[in-house]
Amino acid sequence: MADTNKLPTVPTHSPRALWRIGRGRSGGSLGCAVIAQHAIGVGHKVLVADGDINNPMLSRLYPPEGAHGVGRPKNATLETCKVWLADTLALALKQNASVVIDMGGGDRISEELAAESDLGHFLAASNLTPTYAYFTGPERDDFEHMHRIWAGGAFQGGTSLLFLNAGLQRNTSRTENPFAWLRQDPRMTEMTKAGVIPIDMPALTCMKYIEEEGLSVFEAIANKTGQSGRPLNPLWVHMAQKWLKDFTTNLTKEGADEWMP
Amino acid sequence: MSAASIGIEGALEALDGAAGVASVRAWMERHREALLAHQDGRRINWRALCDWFASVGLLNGKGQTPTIRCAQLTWYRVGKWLERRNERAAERAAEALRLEAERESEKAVIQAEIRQRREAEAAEQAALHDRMEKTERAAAWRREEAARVAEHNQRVKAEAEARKARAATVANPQSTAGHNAAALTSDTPLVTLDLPKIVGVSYRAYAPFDPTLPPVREGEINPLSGNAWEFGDDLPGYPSKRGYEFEGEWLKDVGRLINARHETTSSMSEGEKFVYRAARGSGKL
Repeated sequence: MADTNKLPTVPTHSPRALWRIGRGRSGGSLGCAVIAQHAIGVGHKVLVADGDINNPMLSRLYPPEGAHGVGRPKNATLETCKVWLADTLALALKQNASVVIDMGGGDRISEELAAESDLGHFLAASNLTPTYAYFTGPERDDFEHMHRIWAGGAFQGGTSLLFLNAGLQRNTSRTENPFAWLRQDPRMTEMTKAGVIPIDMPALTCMKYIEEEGLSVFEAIANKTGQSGRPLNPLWVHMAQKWLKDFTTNLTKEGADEWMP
Repeated sequence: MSAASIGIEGALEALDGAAGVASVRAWMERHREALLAHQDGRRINWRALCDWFASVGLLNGKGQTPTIRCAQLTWYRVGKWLERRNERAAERAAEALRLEAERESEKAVIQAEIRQRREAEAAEQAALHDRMEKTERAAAWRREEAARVAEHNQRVKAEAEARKARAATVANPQSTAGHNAAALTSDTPLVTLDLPKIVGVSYRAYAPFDPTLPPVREGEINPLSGNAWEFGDDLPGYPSKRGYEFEGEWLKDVGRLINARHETTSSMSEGEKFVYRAARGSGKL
């Protein structure tokens, strides 16, 4: 039964624009990369637009000269980013492709662009349904920052996802659910009632050993050799593979087929 | 006349006579304070005073009319003597006060000891009383518990006999809608849910239960653990929390059953979504 469900659904899939929202270092770029890989893996036509000047992770995975890459903005000013976004969306519409947009975190450019350009209505009218991916860690100020953006209403229409990244837990204990405190939080209840889909992003506890070798998670999963020249510890490879499997299972269970780019 | 029969009166009279009621020294001893108070710091006119001594017949130790020099020396010696006498009197008074204070202190210590002893005795009495009460309560509880267990055993035995009797007479047990009849008590038939076998789901999920009992609600106290149920109410169509000692076990079983029943969360009810996501977030799936 599971095998038949994994067959490509290209003919019935309409293009979507997935927009990453949240603070920097909240796992947004990694989450976008997994979603993009998953969508490409099931045969969707996807462009990956990396507008994050500080963290070119997505453009390293999907370089502009590749099949799924898009040129990056020259700088992080609002005007440049606006023009870059307009060009990217035009390209996606022209190619009838979905697009994953990562404007990076930590600044208000993403919000300002969305508010100024009435993004939601434009995307809906252009038949490019938006999927807004909010990212937060278990820290309360991370959640408050994300909730403030959501409650601000700059990102309208489409589907909203809330990625709960357990990897950002500062406490080293993994026995407790780091997001347990959110269960009775009225803001969380408000979001889920409004249709926001919470998705657990598991913690990859061996991430620091992979990063020490200068590798990305995907390179670790592919068992590539790191900068030391030695093969990566097989346990880290296994943990990375399990992490991707768990995360992808969570995405699928939360209806990824419906909102995936 | 023997020495034992001779009194001291004669000696005192002889001394008084020697010092002399008409002695300048005796007069000074008696009137020194009054004379100083009268002079109020002024110098004494010894010539005038000696003239007066001569006129009233006051004599020195040698029985002569005192000269000015002799009167001054006598005045000085009387002053010293009186000073020593006052000091000794003050020392005696201080000693008396100290002894009095010591006696008071000892008395206070003894009283405190008596009070402490009485308090300790009272506390001991209270503890003993408390122990007796506890023992009495424990004995009462054991009696009630024994009666309850006996009553329970009797009821179970009667029900088992009733089941045996019915099993002998009823060939096919009745089915209820959505439930399989599993066992019969004297009053209520127990049922089991028609659930698929899922790896990792405990036997508790498949245990028979009384369908007439109300669903367990969030916030109610779990009688087995003493904690309040946290993860919502019982879900219809899934095992009740009533059969579980720990809510985490229930979360694991029901989370896995929901996971197996629904391909995605979009087809789940709000209650199912809540429990499934809580189980997933807690790493129970």
